[in-house]
Amino acid sequence: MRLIAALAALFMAFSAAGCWDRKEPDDMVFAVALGFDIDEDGDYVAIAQFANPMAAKAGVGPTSQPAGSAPFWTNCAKGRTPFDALSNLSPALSREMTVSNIEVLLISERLARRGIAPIMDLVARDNELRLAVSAAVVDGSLESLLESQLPEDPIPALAIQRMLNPIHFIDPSAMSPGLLQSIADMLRPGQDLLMPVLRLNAGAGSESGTDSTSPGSPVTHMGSAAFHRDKMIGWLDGHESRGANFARSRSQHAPISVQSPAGGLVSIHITHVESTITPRCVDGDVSMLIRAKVEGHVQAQTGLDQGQAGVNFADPESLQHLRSRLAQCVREDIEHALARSKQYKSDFVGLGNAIYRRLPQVWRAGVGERWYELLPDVPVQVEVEAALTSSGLLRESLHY
Amino acid sequence: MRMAKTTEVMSTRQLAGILFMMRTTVVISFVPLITTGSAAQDAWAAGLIAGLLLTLAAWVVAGLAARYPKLTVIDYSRMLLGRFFGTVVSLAISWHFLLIAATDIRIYAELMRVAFMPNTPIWFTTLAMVFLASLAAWFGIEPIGRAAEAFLPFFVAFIALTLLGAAPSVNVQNLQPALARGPGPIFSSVWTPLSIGLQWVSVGMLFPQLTPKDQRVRSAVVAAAVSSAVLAVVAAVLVGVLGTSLSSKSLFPFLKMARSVKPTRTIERIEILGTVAWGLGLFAGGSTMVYCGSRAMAQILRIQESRKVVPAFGALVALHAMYAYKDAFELVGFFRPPGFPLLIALTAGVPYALMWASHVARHLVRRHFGRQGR
Repeated sequence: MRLIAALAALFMAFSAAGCWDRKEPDDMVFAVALGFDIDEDGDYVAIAQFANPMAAKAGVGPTSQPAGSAPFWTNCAKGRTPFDALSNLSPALSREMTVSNIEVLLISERLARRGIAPIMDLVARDNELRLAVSAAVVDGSLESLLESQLPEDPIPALAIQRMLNPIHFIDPSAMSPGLLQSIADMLRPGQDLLMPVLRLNAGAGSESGTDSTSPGSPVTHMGSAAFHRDKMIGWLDGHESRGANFARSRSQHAPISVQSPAGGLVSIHITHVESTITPRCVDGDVSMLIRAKVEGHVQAQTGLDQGQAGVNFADPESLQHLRSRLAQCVREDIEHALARSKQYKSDFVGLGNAIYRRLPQVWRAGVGERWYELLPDVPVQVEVEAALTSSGLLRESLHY
Repeated sequence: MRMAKTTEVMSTRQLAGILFMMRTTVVISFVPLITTGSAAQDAWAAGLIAGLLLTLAAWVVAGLAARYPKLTVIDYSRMLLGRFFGTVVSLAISWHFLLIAATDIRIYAELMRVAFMPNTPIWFTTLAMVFLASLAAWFGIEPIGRAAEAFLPFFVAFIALTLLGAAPSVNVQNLQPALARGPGPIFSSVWTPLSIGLQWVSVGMLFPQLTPKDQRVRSAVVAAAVSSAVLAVVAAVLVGVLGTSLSSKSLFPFLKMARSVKPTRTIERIEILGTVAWGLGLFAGGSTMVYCGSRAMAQILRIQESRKVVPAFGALVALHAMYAYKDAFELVGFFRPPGFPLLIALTAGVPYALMWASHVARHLVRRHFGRQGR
């Protein structure tokens, strides 16, 4: 019995050592951002950004110190498949590359227009990559973006990840859905993908830009990229993105400025949005009703000069006026998004999916097969109910 | 007839725990409700139907065992079906124990290779798990039962925490339209999870050792009902998070779900919980199967002490796990209907139907002659 126990302990000790798959952290290099592009020959280009924690801790800039002490560096390689390209990064590295800690996955516009299915397939299949990372399409040079220093963080990948995942501050553009949501949207019947966009600002990536005493962010998170199946069709501006997110209940925080009944503008911080898409089918004709409920509070107002008192929040008529103007603004954003959806024939709002879910017989009876032919002509009614919860920490406006 | 002789006892609560962990482990591993049929967003309904049928099957197995409370299934199969057919059925049942242990271990080894340790050979993980299961079987069912009882709270907590961690990512729209495609797609996903309930055959081996005696049938039936309910919840959360398409296309959907969510900014990775739970369940299930298989073989071969058969049975399990499935494709294909459900229906369903028929016939004949005697 003792012999068996001793053998068992020995066996356990061997298996605990990890054997074939042991990985020493000292022998590894951690990619923190991964980008994919495609070149003119149709080869995939993988660009990885690696973190140098020692330099990041010391707060050293990427270009002010000799190579090796920068907080991050990038590496680029080509291949016939995304995995080939990723694997071809290794010959230029002295340590084993791991992608299990990447924060963001960026895709160039050119590749997005060609089709992102191979990238999504790789990410979903790979045992290191995770669907919990944020993803975005880059408008501009992907390589320049990954080589750019962002002012908020010594490692740009972390700054981009935070940029794509705002917690509570106001962001008028598309919220990052994350890769899981992106893949789910791509695979869902009657639904197309809407991905956040990172726009490279003019001068970003150049050395002069990073030497400036007050370097602006080289990148802006604004708008979205609309897809049809796995191919990008076109861009959405901030308002259209916001409208799409209102319709899909995916936007929680957004700033909207409306005309004040007392003159000037009133800025409202929208804090909650809840929408339903209701499909209807009468005599074979499909129509949709989007009903959105938005809730927000007054954040600021203008038109307080020349002795004007601003909005009287105690006056029910003034409040009603503000509510109806807010509802109108939200409705216009949703209608802009719908117009763009019909123009692109990309159902990123998910009208078709609403039919698939709520009128499955209609969807199966042929509407599903012809959905993208029908989409441009489907009448959509938008109803918005707006509520103002408070006027901030002031009951009345400050006026002089 | 040679009756099973053992002084070991096991509580019905421990048996229920083992059955629950065993079924939950295999079923959450590749989630057959989603991957073997076309139930898609209605997988939870398929889980409930499979649960109902499994509860019935559990009653069939435990109910027959309750008619012969001092005998194992090996004993009463020969008594009910005659020496030849009874031995054939006994061999089939022994093969079931081998099949379940080997397949469960191979699935775990594949998981380890695909998701965590791509360079570690399959044989190493397989041998490590078979060794552990055989060691536990060698020590007997009492330590297995006590270990399972100790593991159960952790097992439940880890599965629950994984589901809780994934819950914020559930999109209810992924579960719609509900029950809109009729019963066909739902039933297509019922048969494999139901067939995996073959694990309940172990009740027929362990029944004489269970205590308290009045709760033996109930524990087997309750374990079937509870594990099936958990399975339905897992299927609903899984589809809610991954969507129908991604979940049905994943090799290990539960692991995929756990890896795809980030519950909070501080707790980013939760797949370890499910993987540890899986390991605990595999230990409980694998060791019980090796124990039952060894005892069954010992009875068939008329070997007094079943412990002597454990190393040989463990070796058979290891060989089956390593060589019966060439790769993950074959492993997944093995469970695909109609092949797997038919195999189980023929090798377990038909023998149990025959044994019940024989039991009822014997009962009727006895009553008939009893009346004539009066």
